[in-house]
Amino acid sequence: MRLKQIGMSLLFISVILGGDRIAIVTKVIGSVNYTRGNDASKSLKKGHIFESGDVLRTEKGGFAALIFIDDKSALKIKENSELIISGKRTARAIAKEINLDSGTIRAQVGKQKRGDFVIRTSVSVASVKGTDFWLISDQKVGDSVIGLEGIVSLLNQISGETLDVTSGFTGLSSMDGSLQSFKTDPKTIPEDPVGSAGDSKKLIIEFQDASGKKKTLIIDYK
Amino acid sequence: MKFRWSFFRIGVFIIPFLLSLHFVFAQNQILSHIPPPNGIIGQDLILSASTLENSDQLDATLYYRLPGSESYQEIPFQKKGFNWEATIPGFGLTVDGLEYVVAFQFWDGRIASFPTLDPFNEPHFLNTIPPENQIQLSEFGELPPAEVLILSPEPNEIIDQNSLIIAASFFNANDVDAATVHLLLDGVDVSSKMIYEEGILIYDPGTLDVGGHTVEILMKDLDQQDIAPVRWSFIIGAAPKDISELFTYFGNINSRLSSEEVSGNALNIAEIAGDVSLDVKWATLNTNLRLTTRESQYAQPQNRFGTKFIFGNILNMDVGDFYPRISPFTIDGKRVRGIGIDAKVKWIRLQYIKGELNRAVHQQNKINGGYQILADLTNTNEDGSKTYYLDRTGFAFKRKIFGLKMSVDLFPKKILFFDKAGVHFLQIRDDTTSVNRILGKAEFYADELVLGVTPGNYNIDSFRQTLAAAGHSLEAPQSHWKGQTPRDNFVIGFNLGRSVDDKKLTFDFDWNMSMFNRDIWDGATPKSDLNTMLADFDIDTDLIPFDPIKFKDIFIMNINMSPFVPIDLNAITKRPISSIINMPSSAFNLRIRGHYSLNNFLIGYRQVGPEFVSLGNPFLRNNTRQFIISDRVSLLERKLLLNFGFKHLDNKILKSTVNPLNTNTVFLNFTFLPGPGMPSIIVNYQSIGKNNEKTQLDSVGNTLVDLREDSKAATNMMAVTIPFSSGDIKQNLTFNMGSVTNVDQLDKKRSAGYLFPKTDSKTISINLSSTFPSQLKTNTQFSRTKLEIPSMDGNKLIKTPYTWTNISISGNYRLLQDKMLAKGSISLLNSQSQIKSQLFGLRAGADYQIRNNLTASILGQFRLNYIPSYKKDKLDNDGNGKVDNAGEVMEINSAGIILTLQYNF
Repeated sequence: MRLKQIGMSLLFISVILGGDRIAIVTKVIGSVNYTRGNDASKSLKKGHIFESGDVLRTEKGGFAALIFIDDKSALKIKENSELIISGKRTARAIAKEINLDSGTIRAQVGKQKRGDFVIRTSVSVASVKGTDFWLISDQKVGDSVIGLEGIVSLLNQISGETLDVTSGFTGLSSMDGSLQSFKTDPKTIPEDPVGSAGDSKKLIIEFQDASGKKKTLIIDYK
Repeated sequence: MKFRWSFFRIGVFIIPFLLSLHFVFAQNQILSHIPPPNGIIGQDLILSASTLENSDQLDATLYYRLPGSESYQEIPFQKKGFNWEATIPGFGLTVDGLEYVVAFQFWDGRIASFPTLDPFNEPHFLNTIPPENQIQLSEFGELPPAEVLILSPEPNEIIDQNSLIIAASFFNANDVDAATVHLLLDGVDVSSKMIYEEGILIYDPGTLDVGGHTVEILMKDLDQQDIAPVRWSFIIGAAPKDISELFTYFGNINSRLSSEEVSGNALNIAEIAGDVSLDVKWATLNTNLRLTTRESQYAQPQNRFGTKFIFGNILNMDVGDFYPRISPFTIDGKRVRGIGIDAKVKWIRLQYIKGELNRAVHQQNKINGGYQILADLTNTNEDGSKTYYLDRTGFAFKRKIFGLKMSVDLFPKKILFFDKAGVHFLQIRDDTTSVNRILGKAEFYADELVLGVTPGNYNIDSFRQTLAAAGHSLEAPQSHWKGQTPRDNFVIGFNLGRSVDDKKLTFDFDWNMSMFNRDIWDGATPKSDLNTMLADFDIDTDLIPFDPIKFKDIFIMNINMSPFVPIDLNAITKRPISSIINMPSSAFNLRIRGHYSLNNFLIGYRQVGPEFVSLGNPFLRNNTRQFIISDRVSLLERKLLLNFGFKHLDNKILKSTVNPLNTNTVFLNFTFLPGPGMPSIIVNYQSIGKNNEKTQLDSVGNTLVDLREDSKAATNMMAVTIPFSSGDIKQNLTFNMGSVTNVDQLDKKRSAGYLFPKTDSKTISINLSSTFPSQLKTNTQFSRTKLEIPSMDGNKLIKTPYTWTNISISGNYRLLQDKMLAKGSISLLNSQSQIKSQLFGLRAGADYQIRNNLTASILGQFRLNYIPSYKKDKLDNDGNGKVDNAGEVMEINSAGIILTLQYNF
């Protein structure tokens, strides 16, 4: 019985601590390292497969982009950031959780979003209900969430208050428990080294009447 | 498994080699066409027709239009082995349905059409149904897809060298056998270098050339069945994310070579066609091109070259071949070669056309193709010598066209009740100087009626010399030829319209007046000579305020013009409104359309005066009045469609019309489509009643002739489609039954020897299409058509039956990892009429995908005729000097091979 309990515990721990492959690194710029379990820190290269529980750290000038394998949700990590990537795999989805120690990340949740996507900091918890946002975490000041598209639900763990941050707005979650939102100053939006297919899009619809004459409707959107 | 409608293309429902006998202008024309039960909105429709009359000079054209339109779009048929096929583009199939006419014109001028009687005024109506939601079928058929996620790079992404990593996720593709996954980069298998672990595929290709690249993932499922490959492309570039594309382009080029022998005549055709579209954001250039060896200086052009410049939403300019639309009564889709401009600024629109409808043709490429002797015009001189008349023939004048329309669309605003208005004119004139007056090398035949001349072929100079030597002379005028005369046509008109209730109800009125001159050789008649012209009209020429000479650039007025006087000047003071409405050279159209709830209804009245002519719309039938009311109802979320209506057509515009012909048509269409995988049913009914209001017999000389007409033709068609599965085989069974029954309403009043010439017919067909778990698809068809051709045996009416039975099997099979599609068919047609015969056909071919955008096709066909009666008829049917030998029974009807190459870019 005791052996069985130890075995179950080990199994439970292994499930919690990782082993599940959940994301792939598609781009690395500069100095970026990762740590798996108790192994030494290694340099991160594109094509690396992240397992749940891996720690990622970007140095000054560093940048990494990774994609989750269940729904193509993307995570971009800017310089001077450190986070733990976790994911619980089920048959149809991966419940994703990012523990951001500090730094700046951009989350782009795919259209075919499967599973939860949660980002935790020491102060806040951001739950994604939409598609695209930046989260900047500073251990001294707090967290700011810049909504680009969709809705991000921001919880301040200290005060328990929640706020939905929508596109064009910035949510500020402070260490004193305050939670506020204001219109985004475009100058505060971090630069994405990779750019994104979602930054500017064009929808082209071509119409054709019975005689074959064509007209085109072009919609630019972000 | 999702049901596949891969054989729902209309071509499946048209039974090849099935013949219906149509007598239009001659007894021996045979045109076979079975209309499909329906078309699918937005999808191309292939119509097929065939003829036993194999001719290397055959002009086969499909004319189609939206119901209620006045003119047709033209599409030439392409010969495809046994059949002729034409494709109606998907944009022509709308929710309103489609009307079409098939017309085959043979080298000797005979014409066969479908429908047979009055086709352009009574075209065949085809109902349309909405498409199912289905995965777009690839050229090579459809495989079950796997939920493979493309992680990197994104399809069509422009990416720099350092950022490239090829990755895909099989997280949701649980059925994939990992051992069968292969990765191809630019067609090269790199599976040995990829990493594939726990449903994640990763491959770092290293340095790639700048430019486009393609990735392909091949795989099988756990049962070792192929799964649809995943393909996508990306571009390696220097700074792709920051560079916006200066321009985009796409297009295709298609080349076709065919070599066929039909009844001993070789027919070799080469053709290149292409479309290119170039987009530079602020402008677009679209070019389409067709070059064919069928192009001939002795006929109207078969080559096509058209370029359209589109500058934003403001200006469209066409150069080359284009198909302008000004109004239904002027020009509405007929090809013009020239320049067209369509400019629109806010609510004003200007349309301009200048070019030619027909090009000049100087002669035909045959004896008597440029000249012919008219024996009736031979003149006997006082001295007994003869003057023979040599007329020009085989020519066509260059027909120039110039048109202008200015219109406004003020919706939602309006002026004087109307929110749409426009004025237009169209001038079309034959260029009398465009045809060569003298053809030095054209040969013609002089027969024994020409005295003193040995019968044979001559040119004009040698004939003149020969005649002179025999003491005769030749008259060969260089104008005013007896055949085709040069024409002039001017149409002017206006239109008004109003939309209400958010454009759910629209009202349109279009009025036009034409002037037509059927012979402009003599040019305009000066005012000083008008007294002679107008002598019979009791009109004082002093009242005419203008000299026709001054307007000759607009319209040539002389004794050959029609109408002579556009309006009845004597009646206009007493009945001004009816005088204007019933002007013999006017045409107008009044239409109310509504789209409410589940209904699309149309109420319309159209009148084309007896003297209205527009050379830009040759399909218009003048001297007609037509009233139409119809409604299309969609029920059960568009699962049930009802289309019904009534149409009345007559020619009673002029009070002087004696025995007008009335045509009353009632039509009803019922379409029930419960959904994918469910049976569907389509029922069509049409009743056409014709009567000419004659009650008495006519006298021709001393003979009484029965010209009374009062008949009804009832056309019924039913099609049932049943999808089902037999184990792993998906099948689709279609049963089609149709009939045409003609009844003479005056049958009991006719004399014993009267022949009611209309033919009854019955058709039945069964089609089974099957899709096997392997790459094989088959189609099996059976059909039978029976006609009863009436004729008189003395005073006894007899109906001679003609029955054609056709069986065919066709199939296609994918090979070489979907790169090749092999196809073939075999058919047997049994004809039982006055001569019994069988026609055996074999066709085989393949499509091969050389690259992602390059496809080559080859198709060979062979047809053998078997006529057993030839062995017993005591005739030498094959001309080999032997009578009733075995070789007469079998003959090769046709054989050929067709090669095509298509490149998409």
